[in-house]
Amino acid sequence: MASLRTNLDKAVFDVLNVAAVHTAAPGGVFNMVAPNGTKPPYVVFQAVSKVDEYSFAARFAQALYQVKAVSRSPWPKEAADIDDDIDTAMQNAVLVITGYTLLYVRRESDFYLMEDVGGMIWHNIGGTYRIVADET
Amino acid sequence: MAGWDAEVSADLRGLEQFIQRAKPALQQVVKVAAFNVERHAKEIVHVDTGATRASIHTSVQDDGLAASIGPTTSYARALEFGTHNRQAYPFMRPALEQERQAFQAAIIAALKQAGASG
Repeated sequence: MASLRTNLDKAVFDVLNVAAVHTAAPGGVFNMVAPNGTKPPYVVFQAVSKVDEYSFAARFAQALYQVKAVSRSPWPKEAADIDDDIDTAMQNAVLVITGYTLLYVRRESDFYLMEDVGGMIWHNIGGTYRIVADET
Repeated sequence: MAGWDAEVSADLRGLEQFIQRAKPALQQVVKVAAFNVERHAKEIVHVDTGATRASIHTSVQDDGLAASIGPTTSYARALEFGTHNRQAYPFMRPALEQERQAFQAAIIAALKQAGASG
């Protein structure tokens, strides 16, 4: 049986693996890091933390995921626009998590990281989402 | 359609005294939580040279009712959020998350205690 982490990864990928995100970020959607040589722009998601919570007999799972757009354009607008598409897909998304009933998915914070790699500018723009689910 | 007005009022007498009663306990809660977050972050940060771990520090602000915890190295954000070709190694958000429930419970307890002693 797959772990909760694996099930969450799959659920988040499924929500991001939609036409709107692929159109905006044709490089693809990846977990943790994009393979070497992936043509930007692309989307990367990753678990930030997972904390199980107990309330009486019920078991709740709370997880934080970061989802970001990675772009190599001179200006951050491309990554910011993709981030908007990410948010449309993720905010209040209906995640299907094996063994759990989703309670909600909400964006809690934003981040922006610019890299200058030998004069080549990379933009990482994204957000951190809280996923709360109830064990069935 | 006839217009209508709604009025909302609150009697805040005693609120200032309540805040003053709760303040020492809330200051203690903030301080404990902040240093717990700092400790958690130092425990889980991805270590290469140890510079980022050593740079994580806490600054208590706003008369002890707020705190800022974080690293100062230039590449700490790249560790936390990842780069175009490196995965993220989050350490500040998980540290905060680990303390979140205890912090909320401690705040509620401090406010209840201040209310009970009024």
